[in-house]
Amino acid sequence: MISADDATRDGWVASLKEPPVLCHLAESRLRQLLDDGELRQYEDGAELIHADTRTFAVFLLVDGACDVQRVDARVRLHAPALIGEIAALTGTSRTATVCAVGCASAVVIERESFLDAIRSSAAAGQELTELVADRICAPDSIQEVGRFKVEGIIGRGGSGRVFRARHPLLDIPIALKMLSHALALLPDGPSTFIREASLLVHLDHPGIVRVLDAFEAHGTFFIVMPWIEGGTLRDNIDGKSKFSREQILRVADEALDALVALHAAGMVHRDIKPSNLLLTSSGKLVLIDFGIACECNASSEHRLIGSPSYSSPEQILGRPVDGRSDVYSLACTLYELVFAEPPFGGDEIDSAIDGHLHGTVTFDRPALVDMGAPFLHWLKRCLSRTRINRPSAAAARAALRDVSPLVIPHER
Amino acid sequence: MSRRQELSTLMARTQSGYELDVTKLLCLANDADIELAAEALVEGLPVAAGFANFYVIYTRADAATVAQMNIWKGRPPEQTGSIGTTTLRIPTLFDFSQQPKNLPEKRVLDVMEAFLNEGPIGFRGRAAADLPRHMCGQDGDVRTAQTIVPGYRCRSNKLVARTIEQVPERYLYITSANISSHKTGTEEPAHWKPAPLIFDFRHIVNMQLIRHESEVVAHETYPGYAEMSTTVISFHREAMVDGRPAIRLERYGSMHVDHVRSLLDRFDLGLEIAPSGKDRLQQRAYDFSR
Repeated sequence: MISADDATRDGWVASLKEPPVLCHLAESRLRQLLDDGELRQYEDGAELIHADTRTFAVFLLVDGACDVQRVDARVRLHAPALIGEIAALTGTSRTATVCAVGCASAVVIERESFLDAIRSSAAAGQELTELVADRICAPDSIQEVGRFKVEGIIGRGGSGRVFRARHPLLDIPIALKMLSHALALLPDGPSTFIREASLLVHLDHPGIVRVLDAFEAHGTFFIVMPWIEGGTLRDNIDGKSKFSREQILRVADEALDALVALHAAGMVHRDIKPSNLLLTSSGKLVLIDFGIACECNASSEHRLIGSPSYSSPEQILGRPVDGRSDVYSLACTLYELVFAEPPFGGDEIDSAIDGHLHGTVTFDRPALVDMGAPFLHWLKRCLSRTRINRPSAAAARAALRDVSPLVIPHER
Repeated sequence: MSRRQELSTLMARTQSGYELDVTKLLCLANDADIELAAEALVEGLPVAAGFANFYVIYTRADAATVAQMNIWKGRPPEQTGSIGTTTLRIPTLFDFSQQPKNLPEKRVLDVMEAFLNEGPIGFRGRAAADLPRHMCGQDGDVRTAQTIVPGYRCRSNKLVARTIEQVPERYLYITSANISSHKTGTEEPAHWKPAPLIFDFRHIVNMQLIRHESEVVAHETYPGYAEMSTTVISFHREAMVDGRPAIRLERYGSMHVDHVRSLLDRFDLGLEIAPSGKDRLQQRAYDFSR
């Protein structure tokens, strides 16, 4: 094994703060990676990686350059660069041959050491997820996950990525949700995922997206869901669709109906917002994206899990949450449908947080649709800052039907 | 309807480079924040709060929570708890029926009133019969209770009042915001700044914090008081000093002993110094300026 002196290593550590994924790691982690790895030197033309072989090592190019030779293209990489991380994660054969250009040095790191480093930074996990998603969808790449053929990426969020894929035997479209590596690599990530996925599998409610299957791949987890034609409330808002009073009431009622079922199963969604409420082509509402769902009253070490514009005060403050937190988030969503923007914030995290904690919701502003005073009074209750003053989903649904008798539960 | 960017889901403080400053979230100056902090206490979470000119931690006063807080502080779980309550409820914590003859209830209550007008203070006396064992100490054959209160001027009174309105008990558990000397082996003065407090207690998942609007203002509101745990006086034992009935100094904290004496002089009372009150507590020093 070849070793490097301290000054050289210091230089490598400094330069490794540039490449994707690695740039999010603390200096001590980068040093640990170098310590754990094996330094190798390559002569001009020597192969670091040979195409079609399967190895699980990641290469940190710390000095020199190399050519990445694919079937149809050649790319030159200069140090510092991270090489082979996707194949190491996916366990698939290498798609390219990588050769040194001139003399080059690389630190070879075992997969587990690499994953340990990723675990230390949520941002690194997020970026790794982005790289894996891009690689899965790239035209010259694997385009397969498990037994499913991936057709494209349709959603990007904090908790993962969603792909449109196709069932190999039935030839029907399905949705594949890839959990972010930032979550999957947490020490209790696998057990949390399995527990929550198994709860969702047993949830049979037309307003909650079905989970058909789950599997592990690419260093993370995937869940298989039916493909639903339609668009999210966010798509509708951004597409300048104006919701009628009846549509808003129906959205409220159907979302609450789904939440009642979810909460009865002991879960809290924690991320109710327009982009997680899907309107099917037949006009029915389906709750999607359970990436950060948790068990009711579970403690979390992380404050501010969720979307700042729609998060309840208790969620921002890092307290255990129950179903009333989802009611608050739904109320923020409904408020946006009525008044064109959520009650607090807008585009800044700080102003959203400040609003939820200290602000007063305004109802005397121009509305897109006249919902009537009883509905707005109901909405105000659902937006109560303290959860003791907020109804549960079941109570909110009952109260909504009282104050807005026009609501007719949708035929499912 | 204008197109807007939906803020994406955050999963951890470090994601997107956003760092949530938990010391800035809740402030005693805002009634809405007091409501949120009170709700946390009602639901059983520990709440660190600005208190006169320093910080304390409140929790519900059930035996399990008090024991857990003791463990979090690094103390034996069975250590007796001090009581936080509203100024109006202070008399209900004590049994005045067996007061020393020269310290009748009326006189003690007048003394309490005078101290509460000044600032933060602790009172120790014979415990009311209904107080649970884990909230009572023992002084010889006398079962005692000790309450720590911030005086009339502190906004934290409102936090305690709003909490007590929503719980069955008429009191909370209160403890100084410091890791126990049992754990570190050296005296650990109470915190009077929120950020170092949060750092010391980072092992408590879900601990909430409601800060002073300004540590400078908090300091200036109580001239002559050091930023540390309160001085504690007691009134359950008969004592005479210089021919006058006396109150006893149990702990020498934020209120200077000369200040205590001068206040007691108004009531023609002396001050007996208990062995535990001879040496003043230490004030925490920080490496940065106020």
